[in-house]
Amino acid sequence: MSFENLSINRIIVHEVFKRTDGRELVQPNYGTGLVTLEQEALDAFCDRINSAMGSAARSMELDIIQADASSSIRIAKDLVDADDRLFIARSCAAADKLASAQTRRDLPGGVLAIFSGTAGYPAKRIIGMIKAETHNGFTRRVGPGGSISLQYLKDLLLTPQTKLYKIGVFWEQTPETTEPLPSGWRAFIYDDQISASNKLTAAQYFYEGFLGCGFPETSARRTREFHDYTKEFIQKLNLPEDSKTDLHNALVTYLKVDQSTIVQVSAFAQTYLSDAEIRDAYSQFMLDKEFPECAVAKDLTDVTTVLKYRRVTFTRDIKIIAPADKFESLVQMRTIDGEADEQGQIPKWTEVIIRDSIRRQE
Amino acid sequence: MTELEIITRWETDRPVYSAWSKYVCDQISTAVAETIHPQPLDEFLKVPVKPRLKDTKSLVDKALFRNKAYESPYIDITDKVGMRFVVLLTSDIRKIEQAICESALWTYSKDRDYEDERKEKPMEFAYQSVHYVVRAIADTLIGKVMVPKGTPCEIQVRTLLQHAHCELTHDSIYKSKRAASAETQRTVAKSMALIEAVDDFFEIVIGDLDKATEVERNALKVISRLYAEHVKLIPETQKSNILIVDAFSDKLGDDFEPRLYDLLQKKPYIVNKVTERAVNQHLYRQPAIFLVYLMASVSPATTKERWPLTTEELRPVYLDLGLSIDDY
Repeated sequence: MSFENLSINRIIVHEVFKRTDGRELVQPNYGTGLVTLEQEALDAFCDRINSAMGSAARSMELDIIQADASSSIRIAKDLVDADDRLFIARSCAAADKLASAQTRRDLPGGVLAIFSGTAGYPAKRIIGMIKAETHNGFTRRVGPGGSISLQYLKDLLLTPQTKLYKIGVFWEQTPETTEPLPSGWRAFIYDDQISASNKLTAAQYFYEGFLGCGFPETSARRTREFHDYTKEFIQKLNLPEDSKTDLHNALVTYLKVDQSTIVQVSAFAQTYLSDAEIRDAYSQFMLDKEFPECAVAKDLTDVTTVLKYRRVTFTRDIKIIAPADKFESLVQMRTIDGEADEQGQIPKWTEVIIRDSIRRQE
Repeated sequence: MTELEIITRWETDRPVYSAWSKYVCDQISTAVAETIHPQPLDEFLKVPVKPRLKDTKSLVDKALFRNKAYESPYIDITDKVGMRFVVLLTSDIRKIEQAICESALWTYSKDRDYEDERKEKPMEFAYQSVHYVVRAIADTLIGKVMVPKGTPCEIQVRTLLQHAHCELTHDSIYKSKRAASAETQRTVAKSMALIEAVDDFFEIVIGDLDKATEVERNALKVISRLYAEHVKLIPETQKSNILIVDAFSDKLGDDFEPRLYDLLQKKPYIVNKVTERAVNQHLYRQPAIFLVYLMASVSPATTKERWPLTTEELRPVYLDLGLSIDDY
């Protein structure tokens, strides 16, 4: 689903601290009033959210697992209907929940910004929770007489470049539902740590401990679909066979070798498809197949067998089969011009170099 | 009529002719300005139009001393006041002619037409211009002056090149029968022939250019119309519109209008955002902004690459559509 038509109407911030050396919880510093931002600042705030949650961004849809009285989805449901006073009061519960979820001593503190608004068309209500870690930076300062120097700023947060923030958004789909929570809501998470490295445990406190979410069960199926659809797309491309070989190799690399824990259409496109038109065509192709735009957890269970071997078939039934991960290094293929036939036509042949000796022939 | 009578009559009549010619000039200018909108009139006319009253002395000279067989010289001389419209192309001459012929305020007669002259004497290359004489259709009150019915005014219409040729030759070559040698006359004829050829070439070039940009121009017309309909503002016509349409001209296709209309129906918040930002952001007052929304929603990576302005200017469009611009 698309985060188009984003609009924010209320923001409140609290500060959450890291645990003491004795692993004791430090009480958060609660905000007492709504944050008012000028239009330019509000636009920048929306831009940060869009960079994290918009189409092609590395956000992920998760299942909402915890829905009890103390869960974040429950807090979100209260906040979405609350008036300003209740919004401020109830949001403190979220700060408490984050503080208690940060059980490890090395998890840094930060600012927790909670916002309400709408997204999508027709507009549906959202409650977002951003944990932003502060970092330092510099700004230029013009002194008296026009001299330029640097000023050190210690507590910068939500700058676009560093992406030192995690966002969880609960999106109300069907407000009139009578089903119990989490029915009628969807959850989306943006966390660089989930997508970047294999160390999911580091990110667990946020998506699981704090937000009460978990990876959807469809991950294995989705990863398989990603593989199959992308393969289909590459096959259909109007490119020379050599380029297609490279792309097939890229797909295997992306799934098997890449350390990233997610699989995403836009990530693959940006890294491996050089032409903008092809990237757009690929996005459209996957959209038409109803493959999600957001990141999907990589689960290779259903793909490992398929990924084990790469197969190249020639028109007259000649086949080359090699282990997928060694294909590129062991098998070199190149399109060449063949010998002219009786009519003078020059066919396209393939030169194959196999960096190995024959073990057995039948 | 004697010399004195001519002089006296002309001195009395001057204000009348002055008022009439100014009136004719304004009427034609307004009519033409509407036809050529949004091009400004002072760019379309290559020489500013200034009605000119004939000098009394040259009126006397023309009436009595130049061997022209006028029956009643004062009446027959129709260029006692005249004006000249100088345009770039021969097709532009038609636009002025249209304004002259369509007015209900005067009767007109075409006293000279170079195209007829070309047909009558195809091997000759001489003075070329279009001359009209317009006469008030009824007594007309202009300001405090009453212009009687039938008051004439001459209007010349020429291309810029015809005008240059005329400036060079008219008083010297055509008035005197002996001043120019045969060689000079031939040179003059050669230059007129060349000018006629160049005028034709100019027409061909403009025609080719128009055809080449037809798709873009039509697209811009469609977008401007949709902009006015939905945003309820008159769209601006800055060059940035052409820059943007050109960047995406190969993606327009035949079904451009229904696709754009469809997009505005499916995502009506686009119109709200454009209306909001048009107040103080130049880009959103240009109708091409609608094209940007369409292209971004359909092919975000290509749009980002081809965008002729800065990425920061594209960012709010992507934000509205829920596209994270940095990831394309």
